[in-house]
Amino acid sequence: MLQYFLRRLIQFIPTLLGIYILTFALMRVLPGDAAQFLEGDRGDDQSLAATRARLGLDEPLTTQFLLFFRDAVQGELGRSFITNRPVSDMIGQAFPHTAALAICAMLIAVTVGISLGITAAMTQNSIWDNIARLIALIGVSVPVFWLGLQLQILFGLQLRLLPVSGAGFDEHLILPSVAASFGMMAVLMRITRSTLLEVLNQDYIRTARGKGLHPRRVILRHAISNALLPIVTVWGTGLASLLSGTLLVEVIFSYPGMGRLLVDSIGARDYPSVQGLVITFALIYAGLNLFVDMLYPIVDPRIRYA
Amino acid sequence: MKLFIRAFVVFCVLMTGVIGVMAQDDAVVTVAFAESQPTTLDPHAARTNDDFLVIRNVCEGLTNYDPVTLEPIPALAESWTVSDDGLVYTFTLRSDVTFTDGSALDAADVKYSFDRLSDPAFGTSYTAALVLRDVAGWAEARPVAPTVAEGTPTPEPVAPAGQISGVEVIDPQTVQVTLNVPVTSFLTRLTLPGGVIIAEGSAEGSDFLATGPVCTGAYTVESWAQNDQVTLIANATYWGGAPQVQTVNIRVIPEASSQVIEFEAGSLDISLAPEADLPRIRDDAALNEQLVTIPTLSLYNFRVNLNDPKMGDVRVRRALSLAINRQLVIDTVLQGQGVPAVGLYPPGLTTYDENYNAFERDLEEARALLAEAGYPDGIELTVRTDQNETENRVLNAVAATVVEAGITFNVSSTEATVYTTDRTECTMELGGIRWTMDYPDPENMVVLLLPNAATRVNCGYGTVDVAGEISDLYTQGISLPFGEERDAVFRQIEQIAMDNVLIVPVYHGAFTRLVSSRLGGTPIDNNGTLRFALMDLQ
Repeated sequence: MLQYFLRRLIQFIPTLLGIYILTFALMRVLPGDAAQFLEGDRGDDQSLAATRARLGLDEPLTTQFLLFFRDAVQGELGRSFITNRPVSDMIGQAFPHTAALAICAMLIAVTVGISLGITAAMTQNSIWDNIARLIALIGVSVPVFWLGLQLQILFGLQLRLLPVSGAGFDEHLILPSVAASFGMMAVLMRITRSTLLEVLNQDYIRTARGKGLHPRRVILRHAISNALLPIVTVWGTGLASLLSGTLLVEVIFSYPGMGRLLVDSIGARDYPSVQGLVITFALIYAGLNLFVDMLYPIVDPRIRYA
Repeated sequence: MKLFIRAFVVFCVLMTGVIGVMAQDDAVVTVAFAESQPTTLDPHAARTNDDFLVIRNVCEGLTNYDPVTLEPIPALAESWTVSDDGLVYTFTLRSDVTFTDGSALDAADVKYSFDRLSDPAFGTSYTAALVLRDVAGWAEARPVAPTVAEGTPTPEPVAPAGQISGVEVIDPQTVQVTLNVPVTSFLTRLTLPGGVIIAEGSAEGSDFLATGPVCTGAYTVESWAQNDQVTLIANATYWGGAPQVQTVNIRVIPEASSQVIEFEAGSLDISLAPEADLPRIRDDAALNEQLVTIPTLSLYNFRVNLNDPKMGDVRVRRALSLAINRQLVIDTVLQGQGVPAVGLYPPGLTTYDENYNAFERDLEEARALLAEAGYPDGIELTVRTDQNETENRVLNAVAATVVEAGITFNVSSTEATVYTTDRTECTMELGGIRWTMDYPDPENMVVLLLPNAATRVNCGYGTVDVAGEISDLYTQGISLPFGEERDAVFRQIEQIAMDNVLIVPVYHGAFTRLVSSRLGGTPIDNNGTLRFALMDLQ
């Protein structure tokens, strides 16, 4: 197990390097010049050159890459072109917000999604099943920006129960989390329903029922634990995508997370900031994937890593 | 499963427990940044309107501008004298001013601030040049790299002086500034954000981002939560008297429509009022009462590529300008907020003449001019712009009106960075320019015609026939005393620019905001800046 873990960690190094090179190249291939953007309509050749030099953009590309790379290896992500702040500070400030939003959204998605999925599977083709499937259909179909605006208008403007937008680890989290949770909730509901239906047709379930076990015990103890594997997989990638920025939600609710930071940074060709963020996202994805893989043997003891 | 149920219960408790709208505190005002959030709180690096909003409320310069007339008025300098030749300004500082760190204002602080502004390492804001470029010693502070012939070894670059010699300390209460050219607008230029005075030595190792600059204004920066909000608190020792509004929260709400919802929900005292929301706002009596419109000293215009085969022909430029139905564009897209621009200067400048109209709409003449220029069957032009929504709507409306003169007007909208790059290199036929004046003086409008930026040089503004004439008149105009003679020179520049259609003016914009009825006084000055110290709470 430990060996497997270490091997996965080592495998991650070339992945990270590849991502880094790709991001570096992609940002430079994009048309648009960071120095000209900063200087706007006023810069003369002199000030443009000065700004380029200040940002380190006057160096040849290979030198730029090596400099960035050397710093990145030392954990130094550089300074933002726009704000001149250390990128690590900017990410450090945005991360807790995104993490809080992602965790809240995930809790909602998991509780509601899995409950709905179980209900639907147990009452297959009944009215409850149809209602649950309808909710899931809405969940995957409704665009999040529309949902966000409706939530703002209903709870912020009409009922005046919740703040419309803003940051904060309190009631400010509620509307954005609900909006962000919808898609994942729907996917979790669907996967729970379908895997559970499959499991419910298995012999051991029939045996359990035949023994006269309470239906709740059959579901919670025998069925769900065997249906968990695909659910955990979906949950892992879902959480990773929530963590790497629920961008639209962050924009609508003016929520200071990493997704918004990334889009702003790309727009301004803020190379250090984009590179730092992409590396962070890569780490989050890889870390969560590894975490999910580590969970598998716990969820299903038949799985062993040698 | 139990975990899920527990989590759900916790969530429900959270949901119901913390509900309730916070009561509005009397001395707290909450507003939002107009664009996004400040890029910096360092006055010498500040370059966006969001940067300026904080700096203008936290810092002051030797002069400030009158919130209504926009004329320069005394601020940290209580008085000044100007030498007869207009070159030497002697400022007497107020004696009752302390910085927020407790130190008293003296001439050394002024010298320190201007030296730092002149230093290319710190004075990265474009306002550095606007404030100091005519002060003696600017050339040494910002040495220009010499252009050398190919094959010649590049000479060692000249190190910047690190200070500006034209600013001198005479005694602790007196500062003397010597100019190279007697620019009459110097006192106005000093009101720019770059011209504010920070405490001597306060920038050394200081993290402006966390603490804000050490200044003398009515407010200090309490905190800046990135992407969330900047909080200002009243400066109890402010020489002008402590302001009524004690705490100001400036929130980061980049979506204009979200700002309107926040305003309606009572959680913002001032919000943007985007064109798209205006009809709804006007239909709502309560909202309409709180709608404030302030004309801005601005000009939305098309910069033309004078080197382009099509746009290089003055007849094509004139035909385009004559074909635009400006009033229609303003009425439909801008919901009536704005004035047609048919000259260079916006209303509010002394050089504005409401009877001057260089481009009375004339489709017949437009067609005739196009035919004469070799396009009897019409012409196809492409205008470049960024992704600003209003601007895109304006351009599409312009396209719909000029088509009547046989002009197919394509709108090419790209990401701002891409547009900026192409505009700088002038790889375009024409492009939209939103120009808001830095300071209220006609000379700041003439900048649009001058080849003093790469972007205009590349578009041929330096080589066009009348370039020399405009440049001479500009040099003459900036040194003349305020008054009719000076205005006449600037009007002459306008005449030349419009005769040659060096730019195609479209409209002078206005600035619309929703301002809560509980804010009296002057919440927004005529420069469009929120002035918290001038607010009265009703």
